[in-house]
Amino acid sequence: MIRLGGYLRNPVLVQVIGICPVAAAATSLANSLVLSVVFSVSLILCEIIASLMLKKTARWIRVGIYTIIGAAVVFPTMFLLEKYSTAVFSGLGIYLPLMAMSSFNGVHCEKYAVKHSVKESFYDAVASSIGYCGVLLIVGIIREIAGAGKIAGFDIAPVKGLSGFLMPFGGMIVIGLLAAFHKQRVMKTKRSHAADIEKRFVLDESADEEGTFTYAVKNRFKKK
Amino acid sequence: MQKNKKKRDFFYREMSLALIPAVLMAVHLYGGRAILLCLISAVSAVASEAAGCKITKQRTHISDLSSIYTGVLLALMLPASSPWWLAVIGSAFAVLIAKIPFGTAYSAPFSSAAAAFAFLSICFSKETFAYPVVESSAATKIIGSVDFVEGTSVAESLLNNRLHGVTAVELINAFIGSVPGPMGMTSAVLLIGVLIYILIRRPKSFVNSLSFLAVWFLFCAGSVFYDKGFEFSENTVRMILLRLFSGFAMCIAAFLITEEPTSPKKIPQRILYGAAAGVTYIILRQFSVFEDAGCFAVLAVNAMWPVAAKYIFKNKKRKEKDIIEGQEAMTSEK
Repeated sequence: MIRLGGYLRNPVLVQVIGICPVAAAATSLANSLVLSVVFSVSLILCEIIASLMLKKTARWIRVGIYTIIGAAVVFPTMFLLEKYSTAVFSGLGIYLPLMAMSSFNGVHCEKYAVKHSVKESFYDAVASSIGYCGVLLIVGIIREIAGAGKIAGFDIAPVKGLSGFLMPFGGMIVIGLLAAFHKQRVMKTKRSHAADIEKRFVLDESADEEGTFTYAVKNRFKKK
Repeated sequence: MQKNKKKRDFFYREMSLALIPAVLMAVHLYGGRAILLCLISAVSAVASEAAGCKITKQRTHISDLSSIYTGVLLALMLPASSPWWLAVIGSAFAVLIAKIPFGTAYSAPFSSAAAAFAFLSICFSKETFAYPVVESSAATKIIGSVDFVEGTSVAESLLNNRLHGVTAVELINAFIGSVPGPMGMTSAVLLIGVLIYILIRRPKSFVNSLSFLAVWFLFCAGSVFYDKGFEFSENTVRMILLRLFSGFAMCIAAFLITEEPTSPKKIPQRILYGAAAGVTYIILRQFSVFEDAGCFAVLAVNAMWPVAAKYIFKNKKRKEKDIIEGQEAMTSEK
């Protein structure tokens, strides 16, 4: 399960959900550490609560509850950071508060946790967080080395570095190259799982498509 | 020559010929340093192509001259005072990130020289836009420390509204190219020559640059007339011409926007493509942080074009069909 959700169907590199903080805010190791802690705690909490209690609640209430849970994790972290490490806090900017309503939480809770048992959704959350945080840390390290010539705040190279990598487009380039590398590795070592990558989602889409907005728009003129 | 190869597949070989006079002009203006920068850039581009193809286990495509073309074009867009590592980083970025991940040069969605120049102007904006005065450069060494006198380019002085009148000598200087600016792209005469070469060799590509230049010319004329209170005099004509040839406008028209792999194929699409690039260029020229953000305009149009063309040209029939179906459904419901 962890290998499937974390590595083969990596949340960032294969499913491409919630890449906004990775592309924009993961500019150093410290930033990515804070982001990954916040992400995994809020995701695990959200999925457990969703599969425990929210199975019979209406969808429009559920989404609000995910946001509240996210905010409950994010705000204490924000206050702590503001007190102890202002550099990281200012570096993260708007992307730390945005983690409260991460699209990843919404997608995985709505499409997986609500339909499965507590144990399964806990494993899904752990697997996804491992995959997401791994990519966050790798992207953070690469961008810190390439963009600022530092690692964890210490200078390692005499040159200044290419400041373009500290910008969102640099993050996108790094994610794209990592995704290509990841696909190549999977195709080479685990060829039997190559079909899993093409599907992108762990979750069945057709079952709950009828509740979505796009379904309503698509079929607005259809006869019943 | 293989028979099944299309004419499009020789684009970079043909355009590499057009770069030779630009290189000669740069050597005439800035001495041996210019050719050294071009060489460094080309060698670094070829080396990174070889390395990248080795890593990704592809067949190398050095013989299509695309990496040499990109390297030399990038070097000509840099100032003569730029250090050697600027050219190395730029051409490595152009080949390793803007070209090889997408396959060959003919399948890349972006103009790789424009991508590299955009990257350099973000990372090293100080070095990329520090244009030396032409006269100061003859005495400088080819290798070693840089002791150029920094001058203001035409685009910069236009940006700061410091130019109110132009003498004929200044205009001729700008026309020939002996003004501070990018190494090989200041000379309007030379770039017009390149445009004529493109007109002869590839008339379809010329449509791109023609529509781009038309939009840019309309803007230049309009802005100068607006500034001068709609008076028609010799000075206004000179100002219009100076504005037309300033910055990267002619470089984009001659080299960047005519790149065959990134441009559309049909004539009406080409006209709209060039015009879109012109409008984007005008907006970026007026409101950007950099002195001349022409490369960003090219990149933006490259990125937006496939999506825009889908909606403008291909979906017409399907749209009508949708509307008819929708109306039928509505009437049947009633």
